[in-house]
Order: sequence, then structure tokens, then C-alpha cells
Amino acid sequence: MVTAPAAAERGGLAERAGSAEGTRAFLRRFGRSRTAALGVVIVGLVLLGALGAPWLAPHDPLATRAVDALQPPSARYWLGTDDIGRDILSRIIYGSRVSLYVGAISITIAAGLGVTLGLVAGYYGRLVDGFVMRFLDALLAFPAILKAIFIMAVLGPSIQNAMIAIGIIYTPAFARIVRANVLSLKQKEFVEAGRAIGAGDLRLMFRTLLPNCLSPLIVQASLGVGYAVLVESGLSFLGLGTQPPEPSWGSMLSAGRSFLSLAPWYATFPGLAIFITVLGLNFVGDGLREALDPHLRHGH
Amino acid sequence: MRTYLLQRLAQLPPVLFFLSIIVFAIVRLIPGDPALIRLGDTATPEAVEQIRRDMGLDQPIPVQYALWLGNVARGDLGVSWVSKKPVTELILLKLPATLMLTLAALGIALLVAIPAGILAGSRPHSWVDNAATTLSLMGVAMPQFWLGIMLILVVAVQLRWLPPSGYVEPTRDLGASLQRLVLPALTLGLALAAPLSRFMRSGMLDVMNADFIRVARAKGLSERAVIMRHAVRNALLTVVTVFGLQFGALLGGTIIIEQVFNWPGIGLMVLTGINQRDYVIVQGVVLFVATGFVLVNLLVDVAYVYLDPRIRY
Repeated sequence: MVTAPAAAERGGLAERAGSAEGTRAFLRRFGRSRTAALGVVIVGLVLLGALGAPWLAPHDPLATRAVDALQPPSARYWLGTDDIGRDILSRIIYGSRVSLYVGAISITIAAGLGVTLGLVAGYYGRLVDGFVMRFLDALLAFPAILKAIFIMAVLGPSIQNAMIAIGIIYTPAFARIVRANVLSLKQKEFVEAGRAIGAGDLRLMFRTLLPNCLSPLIVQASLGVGYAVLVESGLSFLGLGTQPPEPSWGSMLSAGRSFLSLAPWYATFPGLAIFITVLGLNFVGDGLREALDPHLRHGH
Repeated sequence: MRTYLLQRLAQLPPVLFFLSIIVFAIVRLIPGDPALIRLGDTATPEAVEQIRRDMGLDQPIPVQYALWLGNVARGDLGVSWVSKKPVTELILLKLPATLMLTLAALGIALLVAIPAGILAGSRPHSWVDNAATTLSLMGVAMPQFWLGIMLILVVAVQLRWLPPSGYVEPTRDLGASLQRLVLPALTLGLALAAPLSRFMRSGMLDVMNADFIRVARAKGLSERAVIMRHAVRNALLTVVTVFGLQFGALLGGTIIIEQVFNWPGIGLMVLTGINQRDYVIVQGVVLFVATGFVLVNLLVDVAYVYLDPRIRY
């Protein structure tokens, strides 16, 4: 006869013994994907640019030179200059800091809120689940950009508020994933075993159920950072995110729009930076999903 | 089926109730006194107080909410504080432009996504599949507003094939109206096609491994017939769901594209309303958009049950 403590211990032992082998297998599967490898390279380069901006940027991103306004790409200004003579390449490099910073923090906020809501809804079920899900349904009824504009209108335009806004927008994505996993996991033997040895609700939710939801959460987080970069650039494009003169890819794109015929590079390169960064993040997210999700490994 | 429909309909009131609270609360949280914004900094305190009474802002918040909700239940979304026109009338004025753009974008999305998904799903892991997957990942990553600006740069500024922006009512000049529709619809349509093609591909992969496909091949049908007559119809089910959700999302989610192309849709109404602190417009439009999304969601779920007789909730 299997006792409750034995079942819980067995589950834990099996997990510890398998984790090193599992990690190696995961890395092998992830490494086999060429797009995932490309994604890692892209994200690595963007991260390098963000961290090394003070050394990599050829000019001060805030320095204006009226005589050099709207210069095309040249040996001095590799990607040209904007309407007040600022180097576009330097502003793109510094702008990567804003994008990655907002991406990381906003997804952390979304994960914190979403995981908690999902755990509570999935674990307690019934009325609590119904209440949480109807609330999330109501949140999801608004287009994302509309929600973001609303929240920014309340909080005021700034990078910090953009992070909060994007975090709130992306919360339902995490909540639904965790809830779906918890609903299927809470009937399993190892959870029953935990309850039998006296584990409280909080311990069961966060120490037993949550670790078993990590794979889809990691994938969602990776894809979410790309999404956050897109939304932040959209908010900055509308003048609600990063405020000038702070360099931000979205606000550069918005300003460049007014000079399309005179200086097409002004709008082209910041947009290209957003596109390549989000593409790299999505490649990584897709690679993680294929490496972690057993169903996808068989032809999907 | 009837039980499922009744269950879904029963879920509507709490969702709409939460929606109304969220809309009302967020609008009230927007900083700035609407009365002061209307009258300007030089207004006397007495004048500001009078305007606040006219706007109903002197009432406690729960009373304001109850009054607003009561009016909404009667179909009255209020009167714009700025333009003095009924919000319903303003929405109906802008709705044709939004619907025109939405339907054109969805049409383009389907034209691109379905063939791409069929090709990718019927030849998994081939160069066609890899190319289609990569293109759709690129489509998902591309900022819509950048794509729109690049299309304006190439098609309107450099090639001068189409006008860069603006809107003309189709009843006034159909040719000019369609010319101005192409670029924004293409921008939105290509952006929507990216995720749609992935769902189509995924649906095809699921279906192509099914027993009934093996039977169709065993009966001697050509591969083309197997795909077009049997696989596609079943693979379309997931696409229907996503398509419906995209339609609902587009109703108010095209703000940035409207800004880029100077397209007078519902989205820009909200942005203008927020900037002018015209609570009534913002509440009315956002509630309209969100309710539309919830109803489209319901229709999609119901349609799904009709399309797939195996589904039993």
C-alpha cells in the first residue's frame, strides 16, 4: 500500500532524479531548432546593445545639432539623423534599454498577478473560479490597445505606468494557462498526498501545483516580452509611453512619420529595430514551446 | 445544445455588469476635472460648479453609475459634453468607416491565411511549411503601424500609386473611397493573416492524421480532393473561432491604424474623448465596443456547435 508521505516523496525523488536528464533533453531539442538559435542570437545582440549602450553608441542620443538635421545615412551617422540632428543609431541603441526593460518588468507584473489569479481560480473552483473567470472575460472584451490607453490615461504617460498597463493587459494570458493546468493537476495523486500529510492550501498552490505549471509559463513569458515590446512601442507612438527626449523606438517612429518623403530612414530604422527584436523573442518563445510541449514535438 | 446556449446566455449579464463597472470606474479615474477642462483656467468657481451640476458630476459616484446604467439599459448612451450630440448618433456616424475597414481587412486576412495554412499544413516540415511558418512569425512580430508607414512610403510617396491617407464615403465617390481603403486594409489584413495562417496550419495538421482522411485516400481520391473536400472543411473550424475573435477585437482596436491613415473610425473617437475628458463619449464607445466583442464571441461559440456536430457541451 502506498502511504501519502511515500507518494509525495516518490514524486519528489523521481522529479529530482529526472531533472538533470530532462534539462539535457530540453537543451538538445531547443538547440535543434534553427529559428530558436537565430532568436537567441538576435535577443543576445539586442541585450548586448542595451547593456553596452554607453560604449557602443557612437554619439550622445540626446545631443542635438541643428546643422545636421535630417542627414541621410553616412560614415558619420550610420543610420542618419532626425529632425533636430540627433544620431538615429545611438537613439536606437539606447531605445533598446527602454524596450527590454519595459518588456521584462511588465511581464513580471503580469506573471505575478496572473499566476495568483489562476492558482486561486483553478484550486478553489466553483464560485471563486466563476467570479475570476467572468472578471477576466470582462477584461478580455476590450482590445489590448484600448485597455492600454485607458490605463495610461488614468495613471499618466511614463515608462513606469506603461509597464503597469502592459502588465495588467497581459495578466489574463497567464491566469488562463495556470488555471487550466491547475484544474487538471489538482485531482492527481501527488496533490492528494500533499493534502493528506497536512499541507495547507497556500503550500499546495505555490509549492506543489505551481512548479508543475512552469513549462507553459516559461513559453508564455518569452512570447509575452515580445508582445510587451510591441505594445510599449505602440503607446510611445501615440505619445503615451516613454516621454521625449528619452529615446524610444515608438516615439521615433511617430516623429519620423512627418518626414517620410524628406527622410524615409527616420521612420524605417526604428521600426526595423522593433520588428527584429520582437521576431527574435518570438523565435525563442516558439523554440521553447516546441522543446517543452510534447504534443508539438510530433509534427505540429 | 440548448442547455449550452442557455448557459452561455446566463453568463452574459455578469460579464456585461463587470464590463460596465470597469468602463465607468476607469473613465472616472482619468485625472482632470472635465468641467474645468471645458471652461478653461479662467472660469469662476461658480461657473465650474454649475457645469458640474449640469453634467451630473456633483452626485455621489454610485448614483452617477446607477443613472448611467439605467440610461444604457434604455439604449441611451448619453450626450457628448463637447459636441452636444447623442453618443449613439456619433457612433452610428463613425461605424460605417470602422466596419468598412474591418471587413476589408478580414477579407484580405482570409485570402492570404487560408491558402498559406493549407499549403503549410498539407506539406509539414517541407520548405513550403518552413517558409509559411517563418513568414507568419514575421507577420506576428511586425508592428502594424510600421508596416502601414512603410506601405505609405513605398506605395504612396515613392510609387504614387495610391493616396497616403484619408477617407471618402463610398456613397460620395466609390472609386476614391476604395483607393483610400487599400493601404489601411492591407496593413491590418496582413497583420491578421499571420496568426490566422498558423491556426489554419495547425488545424490541417490535426485533420490530416485523422482516420477519415486515411479512408478517403484508401478510396482512391486524389490528394487534392482529399485536402479540398475533406481536410479543409474540418480544419476551418478553429479558424472560424479565431476569425470571430479578430472581428470583435477590430471594432475598437484599430486606433493606431486610424491615426496612421487618418481614418475616422470608432477608435479615434475614444482617443479624442480621453484627451477632451468627454466621459460620456468614452464610456459609450468603449461599452459599445466591448459589448460587441462579447456578443461576437457568443455567436462564434454557437456557430462552432452548428459547424461541428461532434461538439456537445
